[in-house]
Amino acid sequence: MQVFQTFFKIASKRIGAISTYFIIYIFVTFALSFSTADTAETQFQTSSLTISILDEDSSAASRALTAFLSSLHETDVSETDTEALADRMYYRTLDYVLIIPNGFEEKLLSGDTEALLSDVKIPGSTNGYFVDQQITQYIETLQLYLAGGCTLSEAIAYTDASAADSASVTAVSFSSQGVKADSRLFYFYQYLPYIFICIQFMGLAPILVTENSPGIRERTACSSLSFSRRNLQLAAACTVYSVGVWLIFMLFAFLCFGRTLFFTFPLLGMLNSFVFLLFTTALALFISLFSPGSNVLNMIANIVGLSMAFFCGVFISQEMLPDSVLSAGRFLPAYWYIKANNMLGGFSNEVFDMNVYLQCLGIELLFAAAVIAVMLACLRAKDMSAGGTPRKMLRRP
Amino acid sequence: MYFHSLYYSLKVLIRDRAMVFWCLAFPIILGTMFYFAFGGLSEAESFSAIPVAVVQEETESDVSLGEWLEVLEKPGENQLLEITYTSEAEALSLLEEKKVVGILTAKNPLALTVSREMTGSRLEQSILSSLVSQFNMNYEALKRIAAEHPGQLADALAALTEKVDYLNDTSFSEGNTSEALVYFFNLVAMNCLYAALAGNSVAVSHQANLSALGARKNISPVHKLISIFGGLTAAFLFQFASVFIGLCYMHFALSVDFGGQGGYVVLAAFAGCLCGVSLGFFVGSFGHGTVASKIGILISVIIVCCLLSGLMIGNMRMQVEKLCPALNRINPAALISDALYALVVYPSHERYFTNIVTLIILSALFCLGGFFLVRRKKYASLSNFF
Repeated sequence: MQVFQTFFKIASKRIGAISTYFIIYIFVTFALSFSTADTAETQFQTSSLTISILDEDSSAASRALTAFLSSLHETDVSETDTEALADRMYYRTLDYVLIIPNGFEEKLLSGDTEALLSDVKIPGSTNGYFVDQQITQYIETLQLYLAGGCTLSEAIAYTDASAADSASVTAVSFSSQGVKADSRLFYFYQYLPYIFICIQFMGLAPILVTENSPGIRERTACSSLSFSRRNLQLAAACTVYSVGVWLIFMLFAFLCFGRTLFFTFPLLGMLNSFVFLLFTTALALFISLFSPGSNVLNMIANIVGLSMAFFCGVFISQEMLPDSVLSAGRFLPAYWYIKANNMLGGFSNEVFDMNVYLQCLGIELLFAAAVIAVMLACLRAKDMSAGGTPRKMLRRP
Repeated sequence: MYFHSLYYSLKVLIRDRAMVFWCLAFPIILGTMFYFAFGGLSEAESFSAIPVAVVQEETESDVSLGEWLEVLEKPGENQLLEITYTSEAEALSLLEEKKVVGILTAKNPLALTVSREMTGSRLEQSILSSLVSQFNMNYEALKRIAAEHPGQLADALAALTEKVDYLNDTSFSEGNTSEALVYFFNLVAMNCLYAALAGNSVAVSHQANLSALGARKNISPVHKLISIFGGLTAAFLFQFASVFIGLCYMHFALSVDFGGQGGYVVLAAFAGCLCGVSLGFFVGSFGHGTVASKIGILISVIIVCCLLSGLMIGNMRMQVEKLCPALNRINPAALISDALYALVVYPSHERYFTNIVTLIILSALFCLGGFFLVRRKKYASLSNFF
């Protein structure tokens, strides 16, 4: 077990750097996961947006409209600086600005309702459309009561009463699971491909580079240990190390999400993450063959990690990615990982299908197998170009 | 001697592959990824017709519902719904397969059924809920008017059929409002601040306890200020050229909109690189830490500055503005990205120049601090270091 022990001796010497990467990436994973809200609700709730209202009329009708919108959204009536409002809208911390101009109530009562109000929104946005729709709904009903002979106060009272009890919405669930897991757990799984690539490249690959350095490699080659046994021990050490990495992440997930981690879908997510870890381990093994320095490893980790993260839906959900990007992403294992995770978490409107899930896992495994096959071919070519294996060289007179 | 120092410092930087990768290639690679990944952001944000299933049951409101739905599904720019008329069982199956966002059941009152599993379609579900609400509110209003003021029912119906646009769309600025632009602006800011790595190498190469080159320079008769100034100019030129290439790539290859004010964008990059180089020089000259620890500190400072200005989370700058606005006034990354933002959004250049002047003041402070730290630094013996 000399090779196996050497692996962990090298790892123990690099424990400082490895721990630093662990702490950073565990922090990043949890920060990203918890920056999203748990969307697993039991009852239907309409989306609540952020609206700023500039009421220049300050009449009973304008106050009623403001109160109606406040009951549905988070409203701000104090901000009047247009530059600050423009900034907030640009950075998407404000969805809509409603300007109720002077003379609003007068115009409403006279029936002159064309362009009664002004609004500022992101042109063509769904958020803007949603608020437009609600304002139109309120004014239309108010105007209907006024046209029907009601006084303004009656119209406001009737409209408010019907608005409070008008939408008959039923939320149904098609899931066979009784209790649903926290959706943030699946966001946690979503970020793992990027994190695993970085951790394996920055933690495992340098150990393998040292193992493959001419000094250690040639010394092992001229020992009584066969080439296959050496590789077997190295593979065992990599497996133990990688499983350890995976277990640490799962332990943190358990500390954050508790027993829900052992529900069916979270368990399937866990299996998915393990299969992806196998691919990243194979990739780290392959890269380490070329003995890159730490700076080069850092560059490769960033390029490979970020490519998969951006093109496969880790940072931006697959639903939002253009079709051309998704078509290219299909050639990367992270795409299939995210597709399986989307089905489990109900993201991007994916429907869970066990066959598709298994197909995703299979494709990830095929990618790992392909990398290992290429690695073995490179290893063979490397030995051949060096004039045969060291063992053959030793046999020469 | 100034030009000699500049020439050789520039040569060293250009031959440093890691520096070329992080300062030139990495921002271009990241920009390309942003381009592909954020290309669909505007599309995802924009409204498109909502797929919905309609289950018809015989009710008194059926006729008006039919007319109402016809208007909503009319193809064109204002098409709101994409309707599939079907049976209840088939509609539920469509909902389970997530092929429709909701089911409208034509009973009294009009009812909506949505799926709890469709967490990504909350907004579309909410729009459907609002539509159902609108229909039911109008229906109730007409019923009430018919009961309380029957003489006015015709007027009310006339008011309902007359379609009026109550809202007048305006905007605070004519600029590009794409969410993706924020990320590109912050990428430029990050690229400018990477100049700190080159600035740091200048400081390190002038300290005898940190590099062999520093030891050689310290025993040479060249005035330290001239040598440092040459090195800093080279670092600045190297980074400015990298940022300029990156900007050209973003503008011409990725079609990033910088507001059509190329000169001002280059000036912002100039001020940003100046600030980056001087920041690196200051950190490199500060204290007795090793080269690795100084690079570590600089990378951390750059990452934190970029995080707070919105490189990783687009609206982070606004969160900082809410909690600690002073931070946005001194964070170099926020100043660079805000200068570019101001160019695109505001017609006046007041805010842009405020940011540029602040960057130049920060650069001057860092440079002066750095010079103050390295001036008259003497070593009793250099043999201990090597």
